[in-house]
Amino acid sequence: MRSTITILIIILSLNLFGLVRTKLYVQNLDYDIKKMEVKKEQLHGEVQVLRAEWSYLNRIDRLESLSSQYLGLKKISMQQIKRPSSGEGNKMAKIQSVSYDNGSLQIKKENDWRYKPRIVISKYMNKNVKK
Amino acid sequence: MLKSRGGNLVALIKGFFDEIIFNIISRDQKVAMPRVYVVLVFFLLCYVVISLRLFNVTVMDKLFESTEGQHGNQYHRASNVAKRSDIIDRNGELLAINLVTTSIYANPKFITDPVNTAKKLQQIFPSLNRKDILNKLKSDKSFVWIKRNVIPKEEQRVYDLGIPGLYFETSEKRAYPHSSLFSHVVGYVGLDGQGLSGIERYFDQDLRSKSSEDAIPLQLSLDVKAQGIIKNELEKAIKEFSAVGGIGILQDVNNGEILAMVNLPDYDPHNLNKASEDALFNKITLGNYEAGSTFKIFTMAAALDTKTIRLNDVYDVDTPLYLSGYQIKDLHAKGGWLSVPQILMYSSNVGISQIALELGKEKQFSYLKALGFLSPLSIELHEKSTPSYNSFAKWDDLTVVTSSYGYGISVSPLHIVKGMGAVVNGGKLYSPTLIKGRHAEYKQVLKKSTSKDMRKLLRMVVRFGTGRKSEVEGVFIGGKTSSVHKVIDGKYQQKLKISSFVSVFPVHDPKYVMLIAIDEPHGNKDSFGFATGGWVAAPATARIVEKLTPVLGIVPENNQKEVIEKSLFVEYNSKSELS
Repeated sequence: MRSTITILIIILSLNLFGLVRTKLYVQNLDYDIKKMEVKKEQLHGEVQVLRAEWSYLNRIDRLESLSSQYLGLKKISMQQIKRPSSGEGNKMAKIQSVSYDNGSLQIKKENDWRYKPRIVISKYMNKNVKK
Repeated sequence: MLKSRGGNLVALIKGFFDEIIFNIISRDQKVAMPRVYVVLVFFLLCYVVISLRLFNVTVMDKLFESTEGQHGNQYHRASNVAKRSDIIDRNGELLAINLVTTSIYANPKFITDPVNTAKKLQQIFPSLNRKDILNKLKSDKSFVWIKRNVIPKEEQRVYDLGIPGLYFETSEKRAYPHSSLFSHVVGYVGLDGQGLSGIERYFDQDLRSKSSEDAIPLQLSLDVKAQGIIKNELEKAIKEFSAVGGIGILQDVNNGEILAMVNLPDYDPHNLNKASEDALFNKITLGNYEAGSTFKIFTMAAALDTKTIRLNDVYDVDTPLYLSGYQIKDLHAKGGWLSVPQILMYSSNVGISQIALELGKEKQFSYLKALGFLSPLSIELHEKSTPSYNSFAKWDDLTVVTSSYGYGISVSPLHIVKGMGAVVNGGKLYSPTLIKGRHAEYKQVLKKSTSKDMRKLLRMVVRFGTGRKSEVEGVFIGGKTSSVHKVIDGKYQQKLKISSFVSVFPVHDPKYVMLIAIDEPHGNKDSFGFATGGWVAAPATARIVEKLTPVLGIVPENNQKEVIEKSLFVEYNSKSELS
């Protein structure tokens, strides 16, 4: 009986010791997490500053002035950009309608529309004329 | 083996306690020995626990404090400023961001040498007065501000002083990297981080977040490059024509997304105290103006849609139109007979008035309503105006005529862009939106065939009419000019105008609608004294489109130029046919 109680007490003491040790270990880890969170916030703040600076430095007006000062680039001319020719230009004479579907050129032949004026005489014209 | 070892250990402990106990208790009390052991062990354990706790508090915590740094407790975070999500453009460029800023304060009760501290602080902050600092440090208060929102370099220098009693408070401040470029759209926040204007106000609750992880950026449909280009060219036009302001709107006609919304004059959202009342006013969504001749587009679209007119109709515009005692005449009088394309090309008030009268009050009113001109906008801004117009009961012939060319009805410039989108995109009316990828719902308000005819007519205005100065090689622009007299104190000002040009490009495959308007332009030598939309806004449009084309990925159609031009052509010469 005595030896059983003694063993139980020893086990209890060991458990208590282990518990305290684990608690301390968890406290340390908790502290480490907090420290890392603070560091992460700091780094996040620094990244935010860098992003803001990057955006500020890439302002259109600044880039334009820097480009004209150091690169001397010319403005893009409409002649420099071309869609690859697919030969439709030769059919021009007979073509009446051009439309674009999903970026591709659709060419349809249509009957010639002839201009035939229809004179509209408005009842409001020359009415209540003040001279 | 283990058992015998365990037995030895038990015997050892038992022997230790026996020796103590046998000396203090009698043999008769040996019966209660096991209980005594239990109590003794219990107390012993209590001592062990207390000792460990003491060790933890006195030694371990000190060790950790030293790793945190001796100044660790000098930093405090302000609790009154909430975190806020970033606002980005359609390509991920930052428009608004929260930055951590540090402010320095002191507790004078812990400052041991105020004179020396004031001297050192003044060296770091030359803008501060040493006497003021000293007075603060000598005061009886326990909290005094030394300097707010210091830069990191200054913060480090104060930190390095290592003076007890000086503290740092970190907080967050809203920053707008493009300063005034998006001031009217993005808006600004107050000192406590609450959205007070623009997107910041409309999405105030959505932008607030508890931590940086929750802060999902709000992506707008705006494009920094497009906004920058339009602002740049607007500023040039304002300077060139000695104007007081201007606006520019760029909208995607196929979903209603706004890519640019420029309002000049604008203001710096970081420095609101210097902003004038005029600069703070969002003319694009909150302003109500008579649109002038751009309204002819909608009158003509309604007339074509209802088959009231056909493209080959011709009207007598030789004399002014007299109605209810008022005379309606043309600004660019051509006289004689004008065909429907010519009425739009030369912006004939007399011609469009006749068309509107034929269309009738019911149809005109219902089309204006369908195109959204009689109701407020549903854009994501609180700064919105309600259109001003006569009620249907008061919509008489004179209202029919004046509203046909944009007088007697006041709408915001964004209303014009919204309506123009529907006219050119196949008749689908989209609500303008500032959010990228918002589900685009539309109402079919015009027939596809009407839209096709209108695109041709708008191209004719640029090729042969008042919008010739907006022509850009390879990009087929269609559009309509307008020069409207300003109303001040209820009176039309003959010398003060708003000159504008609403355009669509490329007109054969509509992608974008743009409105450029210049407020109070004055004619110059180059414009031969003219300050109309064709002379002021149309050239600015051309310059903008030329720069925007590569940015928006529009390929100039130089190879197919003649084919496309022919498909957009409408025969219009009434004079030759009639003679």
